[in-house]
Amino acid sequence: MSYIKLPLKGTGNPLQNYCVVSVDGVYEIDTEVVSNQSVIHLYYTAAASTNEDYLRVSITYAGDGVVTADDIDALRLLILKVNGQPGNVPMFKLIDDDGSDDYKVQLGVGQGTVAKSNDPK
Amino acid sequence: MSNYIKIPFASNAARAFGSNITIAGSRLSWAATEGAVTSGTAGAASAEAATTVVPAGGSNATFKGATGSAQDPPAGSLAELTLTIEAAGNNYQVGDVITVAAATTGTETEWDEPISFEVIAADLVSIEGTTEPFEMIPIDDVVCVQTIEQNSATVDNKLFIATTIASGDETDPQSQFSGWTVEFDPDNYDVEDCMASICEAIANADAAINSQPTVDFFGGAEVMNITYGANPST
Repeated sequence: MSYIKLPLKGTGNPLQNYCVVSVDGVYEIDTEVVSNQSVIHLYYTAAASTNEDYLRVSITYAGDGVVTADDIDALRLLILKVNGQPGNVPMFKLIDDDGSDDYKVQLGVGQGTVAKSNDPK
Repeated sequence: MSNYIKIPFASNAARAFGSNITIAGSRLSWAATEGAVTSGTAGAASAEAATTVVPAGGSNATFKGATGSAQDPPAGSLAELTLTIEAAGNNYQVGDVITVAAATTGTETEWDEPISFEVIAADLVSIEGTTEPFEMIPIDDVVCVQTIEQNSATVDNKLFIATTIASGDETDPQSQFSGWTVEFDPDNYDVEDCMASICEAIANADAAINSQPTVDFFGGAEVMNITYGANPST
C-alpha cells in the first residue's frame, strides 16, 4: 500500500488541499494533452472485467503542456522511492510548479483522477 | 490485515420523506384553530394538501388524508384521520414541525383547519448510521477517489472511492472496477473539499498503519449513504 499526494485545484481548506493515488502495481507511465489539458496515465497490473484489459488511472491537470518528460521520469523515481519507504506519502509536484492552478489536478467530466479499464501499455 | 479509514454518517441529515409513509391520527394536532374532519361518502383520500415547515429548509412535501370509511355521524376528530405522503419533497429533518394545509375541496375526506405534526426518523428516507455511526472502508485496494459521471455530466453529491478490484461489469470502462459510492447531504457539499477530506484520511492511514483515522469533512459536509459495488459511471 503506497500512495502519493497530488495538489488539487479548488479546495477551501489549506490543510486538505490534495488528492491521493495508489502507486502499488504501477508498471508504466505516460502523458498526453487532452482538450488542452495535460494528463498523466498510470498503468497498473490489476486486471479489469474485460479480458486482457487492465487498470489505468488518468490524472488531469488544469493546465495545457504543464507535464514534461522530466516530470514522468521524476514520477517513476518517486514511485520506486515510495514503494521502498512504507508509510511515506509524499506530494508529487510537477517540476515547473509555481503554485498556480495550472499545476494542480482539476475535477470535471472525465477529469480529476479516473480509474478505468484500458489496453495494457 | 487491512488498513481502514472510517467515514462518519450524518446524525440528522436533511432528506425527503419516505415513499410510503403514513402519519397516524394520534400524532396530529390542530396547528392553530381547532377544526373538524369530515369523512365524505366513503372516507377515501382527500384532495392533495400542501405543507409548510418550521424551521425553514424542507419543501414540496404534500399529503392526502383519509378516514378509511364513511362515518355516521361524520368523523369529526383528528384521531380518526390518517395522512399519507403524496409528494416526498426534500430537505426535511427529524424534529421539523410540518403544517398541512386545510383540505376543503373534493367529495371525500376533508378538514377545515391546518393540522400539524412533528417529523420522526421513521417518516424520512433511511440513512445508514442509525446504529453504526460510521462506515469502515478498507483502503488496501483503494486506488483513487473520483467523481461519478452519467450521461456526460458529473453526478451531484456523490464521490466514488475506486479500488483495483474488477467488478465484473463491462458496461463502461469506469464501471469495470468496484468501490464505494459515497452519497452526501446536498447541504454543505463541495466536491473538491469532500474529495480532499477523504484523501487526507487515506494518506494518514497509509502513513500510520492501523491508525484507522476518521474522515474529518471540511465545511460541515455530511454523508448519508455508502454502498459497495461497480462504479455507477456510464
